[in-house]
Amino acid sequence: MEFLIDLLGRFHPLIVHLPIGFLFLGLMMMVYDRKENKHRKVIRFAFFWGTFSTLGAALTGTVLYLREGYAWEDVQGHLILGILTFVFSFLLYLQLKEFTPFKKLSPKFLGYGLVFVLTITGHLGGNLTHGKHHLTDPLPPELKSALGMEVVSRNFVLSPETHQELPLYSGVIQPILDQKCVSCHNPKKTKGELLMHNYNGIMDGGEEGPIILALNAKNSEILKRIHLPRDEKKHMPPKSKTQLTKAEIKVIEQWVTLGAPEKKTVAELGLSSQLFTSFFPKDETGIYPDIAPKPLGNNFIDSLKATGLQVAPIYKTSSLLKVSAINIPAFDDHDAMVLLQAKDHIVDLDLGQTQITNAIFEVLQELNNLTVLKLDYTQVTGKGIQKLKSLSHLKEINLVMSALSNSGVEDLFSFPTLEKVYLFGLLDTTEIVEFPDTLKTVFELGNYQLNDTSD
Amino acid sequence: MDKIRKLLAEQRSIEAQFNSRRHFIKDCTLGLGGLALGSFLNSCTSGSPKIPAYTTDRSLNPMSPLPAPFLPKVKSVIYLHMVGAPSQLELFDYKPELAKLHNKACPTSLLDSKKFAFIQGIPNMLGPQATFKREGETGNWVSNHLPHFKKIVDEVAFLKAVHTDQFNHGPAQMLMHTGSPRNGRPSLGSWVTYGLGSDNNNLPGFVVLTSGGTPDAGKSVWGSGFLPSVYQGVQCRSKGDPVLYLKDPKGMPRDLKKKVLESINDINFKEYEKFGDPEVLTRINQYEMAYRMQVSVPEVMDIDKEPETIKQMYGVKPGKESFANNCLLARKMVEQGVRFVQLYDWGWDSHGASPDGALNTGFVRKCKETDRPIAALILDLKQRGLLDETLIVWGGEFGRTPMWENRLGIQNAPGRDHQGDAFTMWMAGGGIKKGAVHGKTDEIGYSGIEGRVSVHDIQATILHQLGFDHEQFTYNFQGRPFRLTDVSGRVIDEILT
Repeated sequence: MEFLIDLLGRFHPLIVHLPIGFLFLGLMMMVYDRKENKHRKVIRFAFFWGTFSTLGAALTGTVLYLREGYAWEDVQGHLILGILTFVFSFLLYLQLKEFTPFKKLSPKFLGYGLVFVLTITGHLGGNLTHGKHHLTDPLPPELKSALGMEVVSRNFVLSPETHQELPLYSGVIQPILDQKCVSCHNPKKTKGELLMHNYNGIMDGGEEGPIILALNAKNSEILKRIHLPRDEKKHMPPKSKTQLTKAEIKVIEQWVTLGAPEKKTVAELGLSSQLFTSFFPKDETGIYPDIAPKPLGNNFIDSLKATGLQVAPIYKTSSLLKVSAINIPAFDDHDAMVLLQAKDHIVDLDLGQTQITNAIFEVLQELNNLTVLKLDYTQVTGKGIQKLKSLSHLKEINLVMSALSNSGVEDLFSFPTLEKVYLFGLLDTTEIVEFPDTLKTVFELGNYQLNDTSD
Repeated sequence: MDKIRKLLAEQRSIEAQFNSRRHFIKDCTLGLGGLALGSFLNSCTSGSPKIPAYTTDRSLNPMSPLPAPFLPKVKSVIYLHMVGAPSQLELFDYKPELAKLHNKACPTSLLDSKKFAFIQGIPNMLGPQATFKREGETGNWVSNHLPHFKKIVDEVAFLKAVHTDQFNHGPAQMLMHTGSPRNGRPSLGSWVTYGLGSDNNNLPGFVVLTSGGTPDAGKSVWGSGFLPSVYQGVQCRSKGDPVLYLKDPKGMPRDLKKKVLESINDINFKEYEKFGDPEVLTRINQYEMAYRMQVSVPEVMDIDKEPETIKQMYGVKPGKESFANNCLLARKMVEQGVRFVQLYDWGWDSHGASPDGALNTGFVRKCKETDRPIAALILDLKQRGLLDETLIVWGGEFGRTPMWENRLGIQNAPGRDHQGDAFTMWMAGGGIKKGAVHGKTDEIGYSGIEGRVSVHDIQATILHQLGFDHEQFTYNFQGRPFRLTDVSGRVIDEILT
């Protein structure tokens, strides 16, 4: 007859809704009746049944907790508050019944208390069945971060260097499943009798049998479900949940095709890194510094644009700026002062084919994050160019067809971060500059020629 | 009269494009109510919006630059299309096995269920009509027809197993440039300028340069399809007027032109103040841009001012229409911030039926005409620091058969038929893996056996280098989002750094 007790426990989710309804109705009537105080009897009736059903809910709940192996840490809040709900509603009933010691209790205090414990108990109960993030999941990420919640990235990241040593299953497959499947297929909530939180669970399959046919990805239930049209009821993950990406599906397919091994590493299985490239961290800023200064206000950007400069972020969501004077050939050293308004934001600056001179270096040295600089077709001779040496991100300078002098070229030798300098067509070619062999910077001198090959 | 009728017909067909069945069904349910509501709402708006003195707002200047969604690897694209489809078997795809089969009958197993444009019955095989050598540090194969190419072979990444499902020029060119073999889709350059705009306010963002003739598919290969027409390619000519209909007529001095334009713009602006229709501002902007282009286009199209060494390197022919001139122009355009430069060089359809189209005559001449300018273009971009911020794409619309074409059962001069199953393309420039080779064809270069890539893959890769996710980059038309790569396309990571 043990099963009757188990069965009783399983009625908890049904019974809990009774006290919620009764008690809220009673509370609403209390508010309605607060002035005239005519309906005490009816209200008392609501709290009688409320208390009685709370007791039922608490009892079945306790049975459920004891019989179904819930952890105390998970249920303690719900259980304690559930008992408190009982206490509050019972006290309210007694107060309404005007029993002597309870008559003096404030119905207002009890009412507010009951609203509070009842709401929290219900919420915690919901968390137990639907998961902790049931209510926060659908919120947009912006709202989540505004509420101070941690926004977990939905897609996991592999390292391009070490991914080959990882076991394919535990290093790649399980993390994918953890993110996209396990919220419904875990020991707490086991949809379709399927567990996907560990290898054995996956291999055991669900109520419709195994989900994986080793070596046969096409006929494996897991992939059949994934490939069903999204609107199909049996499509997995369900259409309202975050879907698997193409790359993730491909990896799962590959894993099943290889016999769904548990321990073998990516390298042992002979899989190329190609399969995993979309899991590698994205190189978002390229050669530009990996920093994100506070975005420059629109009025600053507008004042830059008002001079005729082209100003745009290096990509849509970046606060780093690319600035070009391509439409203002008359741009000169004086005009350049405006650049200081964005001195932490400009990483790419094109002042080619403008009227600037050596005085420009005074301004440029302030642009802390400048990475790519174009001064081609200008009159700069390089006097003062060493001021740019302090720019710790400067990687490329284009001085093609400029008036850069030999000493200006030599000044660039000692720039620590400089990677590439374009010097084709310098006007000053009286003497040939000697480039030390030890330079790390590439000096592109150009002057390529094509022979008159007739072969 | 005929012309007017033609224009009207064209207008009607464009209007029809914007009215699909989808719209009809939608309009049936909401149309009438919407009409009524619209007239209520109209009366609610008041006053006209103020326009700032300068602006980069898209409604005023449709070419104003926009940041890419992701960090772009390149700023500009130069696309070199060899119209007619050059033979991969005489340029990059070295097949010694094919030489052994030369002039032997083709096994029928290769012909079963295949469709050809001209091959009939059982053709003979045609061995490579070129000698090959490994060139550069990477040791990639290059034919003797391309003596200058060896200087840049280490800069490019080859795609040896590109495939297309079109086997005639027009549709194949459409597919290559618009993502669909049928009319009506925007071209690659149009998508790119729509998405990114162009930095230089005085030049078009999408320039087309042709040599030898217009592509078989006509001007739709640089058309804007359903995108606003400002994004179509502007054809610039290296001979005669750089842009047709841009020059002032005789007796119209520039200052008078300016006055005329100012008056027109004033009237238009009053119109705008009255109705607040942003289309009017676009029109004002277009007039002004055309006016500026009258000066700036002839300037950038003038190759005479280039130093002698540069002219020699490219092998230009001033005053004539030539591929070499166009390559030099492409560099100048990119240097001036033009977003997309599309070159078409016509004359690569080497069937062998005429001397111009034979692999031992016309084809060799075409190689000579293009080899030097292409090598020069890459080296010139490199020495100016532009190669790293430009993507160069080379290819035809399909490849050519390992069989000797035998139209009407007659074997002419060495020539090959159309083949969509496998052909070679290459890319060079920013973010491209130097010297990479991706894809492999079978022993006779008939089909790809490894690393096959589709036309949509090429387009996805080009968009990727410019900072787009080709699956996200869409335009709503006829009630649904469209994209360049339709429902397919994969970025070819194998040739990217």
